[in-house]
Amino acid sequence: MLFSWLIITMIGFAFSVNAPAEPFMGAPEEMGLPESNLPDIPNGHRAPSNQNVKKFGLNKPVFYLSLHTLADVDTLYRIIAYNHRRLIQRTARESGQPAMTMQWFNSLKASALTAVLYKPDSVWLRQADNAAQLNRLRFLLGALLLDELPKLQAERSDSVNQLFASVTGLSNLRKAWHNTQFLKLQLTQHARPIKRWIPVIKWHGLDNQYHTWVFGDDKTRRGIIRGDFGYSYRDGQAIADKIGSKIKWSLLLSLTGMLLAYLISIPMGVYSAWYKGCWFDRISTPLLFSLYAIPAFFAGTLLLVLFANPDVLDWFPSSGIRDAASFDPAWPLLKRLSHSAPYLVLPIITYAYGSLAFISRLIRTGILNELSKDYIRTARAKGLPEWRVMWMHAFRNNLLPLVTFISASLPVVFSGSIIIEYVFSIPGLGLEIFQSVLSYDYPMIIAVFSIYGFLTITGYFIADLGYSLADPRIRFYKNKRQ
Amino acid sequence: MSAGKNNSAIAVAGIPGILLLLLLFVGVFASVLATDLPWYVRYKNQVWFPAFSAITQPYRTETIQHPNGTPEVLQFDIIDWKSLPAESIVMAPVPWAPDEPDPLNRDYTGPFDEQKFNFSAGNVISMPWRYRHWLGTDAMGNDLLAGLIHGAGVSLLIGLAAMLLAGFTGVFLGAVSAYFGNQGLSLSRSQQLLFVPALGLGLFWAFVARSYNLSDAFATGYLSTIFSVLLSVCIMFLCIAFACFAGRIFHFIPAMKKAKPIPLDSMVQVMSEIFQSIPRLVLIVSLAAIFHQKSIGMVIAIIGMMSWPPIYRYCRAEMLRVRELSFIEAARAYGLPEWRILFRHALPHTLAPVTTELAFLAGASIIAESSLSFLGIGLPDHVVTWGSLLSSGRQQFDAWWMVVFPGLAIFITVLCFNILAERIRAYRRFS
Repeated sequence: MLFSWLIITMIGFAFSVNAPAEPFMGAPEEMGLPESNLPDIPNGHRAPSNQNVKKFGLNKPVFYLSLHTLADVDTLYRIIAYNHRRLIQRTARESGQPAMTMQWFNSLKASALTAVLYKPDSVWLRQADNAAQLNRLRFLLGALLLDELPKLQAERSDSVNQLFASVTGLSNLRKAWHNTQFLKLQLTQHARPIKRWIPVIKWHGLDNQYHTWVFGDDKTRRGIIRGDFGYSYRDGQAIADKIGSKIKWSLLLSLTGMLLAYLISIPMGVYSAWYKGCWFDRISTPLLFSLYAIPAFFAGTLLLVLFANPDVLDWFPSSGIRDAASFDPAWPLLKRLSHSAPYLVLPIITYAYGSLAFISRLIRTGILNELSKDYIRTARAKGLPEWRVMWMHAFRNNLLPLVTFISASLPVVFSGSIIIEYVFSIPGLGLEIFQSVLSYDYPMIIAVFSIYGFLTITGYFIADLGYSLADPRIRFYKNKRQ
Repeated sequence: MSAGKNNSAIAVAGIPGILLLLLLFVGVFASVLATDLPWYVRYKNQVWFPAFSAITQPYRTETIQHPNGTPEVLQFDIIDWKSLPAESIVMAPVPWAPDEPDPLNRDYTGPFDEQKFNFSAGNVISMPWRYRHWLGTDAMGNDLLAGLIHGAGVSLLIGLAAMLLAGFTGVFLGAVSAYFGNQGLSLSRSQQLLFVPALGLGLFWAFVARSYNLSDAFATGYLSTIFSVLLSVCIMFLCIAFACFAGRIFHFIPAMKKAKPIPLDSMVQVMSEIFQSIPRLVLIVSLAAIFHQKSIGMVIAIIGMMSWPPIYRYCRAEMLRVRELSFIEAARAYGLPEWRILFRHALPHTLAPVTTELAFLAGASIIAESSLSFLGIGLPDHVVTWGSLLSSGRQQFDAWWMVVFPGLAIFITVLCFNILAERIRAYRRFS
């Protein structure tokens, strides 16, 4: 079990690391500052500030080990920008010369920086279209750092050369570019592409991102084993706090919805199995079967159109959980709950109907199956009252699939329903997950991955416990007497 | 089997099966059934048939030479065919395309509202019956019925393809792991020792060293993606095969020749446990971020790869029963090779209960796909689906038709798959 969970966290972690999104791509303006040493270069994404690089441990290696080729630069993790990383890796793989590739990259970066910081004298600027040419040069040199595709690289290098040929002056910049070109030539001359096919495993030690994430470090991070999931890229808040503040609405919604579903569906399932073929059974069984084919977002939107629409029936508010104008956080809990109650009616109905259809079908089929067995006839022959036969014999023996269903819904109870919270705009955990996924907030996504996986595995364990409660014949230990 | 019972495929599938076939037909021919291009035109003594061939050649132009005066040029995709004074014209059954908005009927024109029609330049009249938007329009003026027809193809494609993918994976893993169990397959010790490094090297050569070839192929297109991935997989399997072959060399050492079983069943079981513990929606979006661009193929791959565990469990349980039957024993006594017994004799007998699950799975995949496009993730933005139509209805509650009709389309399709599943189950029970 622990093994599966570790694998799941690693899968989540691998996704977050391999994702092409820059760490702070979706973050609001104040979280990421332009990379300080490259002002105004069009580098496509917003780079994290040096302070945030430290806070999120982005400059550490990802895992204890890394598998790469002999051609790769083994300190690649120190480069934060994703585009630069790809450019270096691809160039190194094609040339097989990691050290020379780094030299070339630094020189290219220096050329781009020189172009941006270049202050031409005003006489030069006024000549012909020198100003436009310089700007084009700045753009091209910045773009050379952006795309790693060899075709684009060659095209852009050619255009830079042409530009240099067409303008006079720019001696510093010309020198820097010549240096870059020289290093690139060296790379092609000394190419050893065979090195790409030789694997290398490098041990990075304990100071890596995964270790910090799981076990914490000595300073600020405490690791997930002590309940610290790190910080969100979006606002820098601790993820554990964020989950804690959002989960109450998800829990309220899903627990009430499930309770409602069980309270209605169990008697319904038992009744329609008991009086099989009566009018109630004939109506409810196909109805529930078709209810099962309605997706939650359709049901939710339909309920909104019918019951939260001023043109049809304006019974319930259409979104949110409280009325911002009249709500007072100082109210006692009961008052606050009753204030929010009308907002929750439609979401709870939407939540309940899906499991309602499933559970009552499960119970009806199961009980019909049990009723044909011999022990039911024995119980009836003994003279037991019919309700006792039904509830204490048939239903009791049908508990196992119910236990499976309850334990399987454990992770869903935690994460809430993304779709229902989206349709009704409920600020629960589901909506939070959705938003963090849209804004590439990877620490949050890995946290959700691992909690979800943990709860699924816990669910299997609870199911095993529940089986032995529901059916005493199932035991965990082996009976030695047999 | 009871006498007189009709058990042809059509009789088992019944009305839901026929409905699904009809839907498949509509989906496949969507771009001909719902298009603003005509099928047949006769204009100024020139005849064009089939005129909808402009779907495949979007810039098709025709020039009409007048005896006196300038020639008239018709560009097929931008001309307003409906107000063209043609001698005779046959339009598609739904004369609208889902991405060609009708500017006169924008801002959610309902099916019962008054609709306008541009009869000739500047002469706007009430909509004739032939060109009505029968199910209304959306904010831009796109016809809802045309959108539903085009969405049918996408939904069925994703539902059926994901079902096939999950079916193949689940049936293969379930059958193989149950047939061989934890003891059935064995390799010699030297082969096992070589297996682990060979797998590592295979994965390295296939996916790490070739990572840029793969990412270039992703950017190029479907065919090169499939080719490149297949090449990688071949490299990996070649490495493994080589390890098994090379392991035999060491068999002269007695300790190395000893056969050790592979715990195949436990391994696959752990794998299915892991696949079930991953939140599907979060995974889809993470992968969409990794592959940078949204695509239908990715949604199919993810839904398919995430939904094989139930199929696997059914197939495994059935195979555990079948492998103990006497005809398997007979085949083995006859001296047939194990793989042949598995795939030719045992596997066909496990497929019957799986077909029921596959039909349920197709419905569930359609629900998963439409939920994703309702949330606006996974599929590319220009693809019209039932879920994306419904989500645009969520912006405007007055436009009930934008909610009710796409929802009903999903509901009826999924219901058909579910009824089909029940019918297959009932047929198996009574036959």
